[in-house]
Parts: sequence; C-alpha cells; structure tokens
Amino acid sequence: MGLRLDKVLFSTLHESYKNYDTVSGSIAISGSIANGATANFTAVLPYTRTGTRADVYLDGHSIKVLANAGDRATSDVYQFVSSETFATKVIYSTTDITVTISIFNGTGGSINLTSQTITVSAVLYDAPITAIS
Amino acid sequence: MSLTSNARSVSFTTRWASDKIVGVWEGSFNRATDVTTITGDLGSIYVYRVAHDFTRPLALDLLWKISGGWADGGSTDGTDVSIAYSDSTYIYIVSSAFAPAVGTMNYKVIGTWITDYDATNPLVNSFVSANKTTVFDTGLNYQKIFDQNVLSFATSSTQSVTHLLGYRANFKVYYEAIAGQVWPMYSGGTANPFLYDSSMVECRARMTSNTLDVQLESVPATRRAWYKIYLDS
Repeated sequence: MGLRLDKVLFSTLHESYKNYDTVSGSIAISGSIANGATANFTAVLPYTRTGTRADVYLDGHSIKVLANAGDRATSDVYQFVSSETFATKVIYSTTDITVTISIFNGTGGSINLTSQTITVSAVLYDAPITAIS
Repeated sequence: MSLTSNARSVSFTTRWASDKIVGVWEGSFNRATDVTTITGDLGSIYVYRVAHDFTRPLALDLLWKISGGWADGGSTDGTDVSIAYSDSTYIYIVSSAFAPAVGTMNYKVIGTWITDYDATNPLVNSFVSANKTTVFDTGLNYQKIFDQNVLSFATSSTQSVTHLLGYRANFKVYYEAIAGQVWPMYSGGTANPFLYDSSMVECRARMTSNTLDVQLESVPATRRAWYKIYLDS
C-alpha cells in the first residue's frame, strides 16, 4: 500500500530532512599568489549527530550558492582579480565538515587577491543514513 | 493571544510542505569492474547503477568515499569528483575517474520525491529507515518549503523566481541534464568531468535577497528544472 506524494504536505510514512542545527563560519581571502601556485582557505564546521548530512552554502558578494554545485556555479560568490580559477571542496570527517576554497593562479604572473570574506554555513540534518566512518 | 507565529521559529507547520525522503541506498562497489559505460558524442562516462524501484526520477543527494574522508556529491575529494543522478529506473553514481580506476567506492544516496514531476502521481511505498527509528521529532526543525515549482527552458537562459523574503534563503535545484535524467544542479563549463554528450545541459543557481536565479546553459531542446526555496536561511 502506498501514498500519492504529489499532493501531500508532510508524510509520517516517510523520512524527512530533520535539521538539528545550523553552523557557520567564515573564510577570509586575501594575500598574493605566485604564478602556478594554489592558495587554500578553509573553514571547519563541527557536527554532533551520527548519520549527519548537510546542505553546505557559500555566501558572498550578496549571493548564496550551494557549495557542491560545480566550480562555475560556486565561483559566483567570489570577486575575481584576474583569470584565476576557484574551486570548492566539502569533506566530512567523523566530527566535522571541512570546506576548502582553492584558488589557482595560472595567469602567467603573480596576483594580489581582492580581500573578501565568504560566509560558509552547513544546515545539519539528522539523516536516515549510517554513521560517517 | 495572537494565533500568528513566525513560521521560521517552529519546527513544523501544515502551511508549508517539507521534503519527503523515499529511499536511502548505501553500499560499495569496485570502481573498475562494477561500472557500466555510457557513451555520447563527446566521450564515455562510467557509472554504477542501482535500480530504485520507482516509476520516475528522484532528486538525489550523495556522500561518497574512495579513500580519506567522505565527500559531498558534486564536490571533489582532492582527486576525483562524483555525483549521483537518476532516471525513471536507476540511480547512477558517476565519477571523474572510474574505469580504468582501481579500488572501492563507498556511497550513501538519499532520494527525495520530486513533487509534480509529471501527471502520474504514482503510489509510493512508505519509507522508514532502519538507521533511525524516529520519523517525526518536534524537537527538530523541518525544512519548510516556501515555494517549489518547475521551470521550463526552451533555450539557454536565466529565469528569476521572485520570493521577496528579504533574505538569502536556503534552496535546492535539480534539472534535466539530458531528457529523462534528473541531476543536482552542476556547472563546470569545459572542466565539467561529467560531460559526455553535446546534448547535456549545465545548471547554476544563485539566491539573492528577493530572487532565485536559475540558469540553464547549452540547452539544445526543452529542459526542465525543479526548484525549492526554503523558509530557512
């Protein structure tokens, strides 16, 4: 026996994303990068519940994006100084989520980054999955 | 006593819908021997398939691990990038480096119902995970969906959904990268490791204080995108 979910607001017959906390941090970007080098900027966001999954967002430049949406999409929160590339990495350990922004300078010369702060937030869900191990 | 309340401050309200998780798939596979090849005019991708037993695609979230930590679907682990998508029959896990890659990938896939994907409105079996025994907990906050709908794109363009919430709300977007396939929004341009056919579409979305801007690029024929704007931020 089933349920026709298209017209249902909420189903107690199904799991849902239960949000037990939202944690945030900030990534301050500044400095210079030599040609051919990569600069990494990191935020560590703790979580507590077994079987956590999170939606991780980046917020900067008055725009919010999902951190796992591909480098062209996530770079919308970043103010470029030249043709450097912007990449995001979201990694879970057993206790926290590490968000890393990597900026690679392949412009042919050294660049001075535009000083800026990107807010990182993780909407933590008590998800119906086994523990991260 | 006022009967009004700030919906963002309550865990659940019957005024707004919430996500409905209809399945979880966890396991591991051999990256070289357990994968299937899909070939397009730009090349091949190697996918691991799992039948999902529904009659239409699901919105998927993925956690995956080859070595080291678990990475979010769509994110790199420092070496590879993996993502999960679905069609009406299968869940597909695709990586930037499967065959001839070696080793094991572990995965956790969460499938969420796409409201009004089509007019079929099929019967869906109950899903309560053995991993968690409490389906509804008023002590936790449910992601209340302020607005959700489908956008249709006949050409490459950006469509803005006005929400007027006055803050940058949480959101999700899924879209048809290829007709009949639902992917999490993903845009990598020429560096997109999953591009195997010139008919594939890329999707990027930006939330501002008053709009959600959804952009589909390289649209060869009509494609759809499903968005959710949550009340929470």
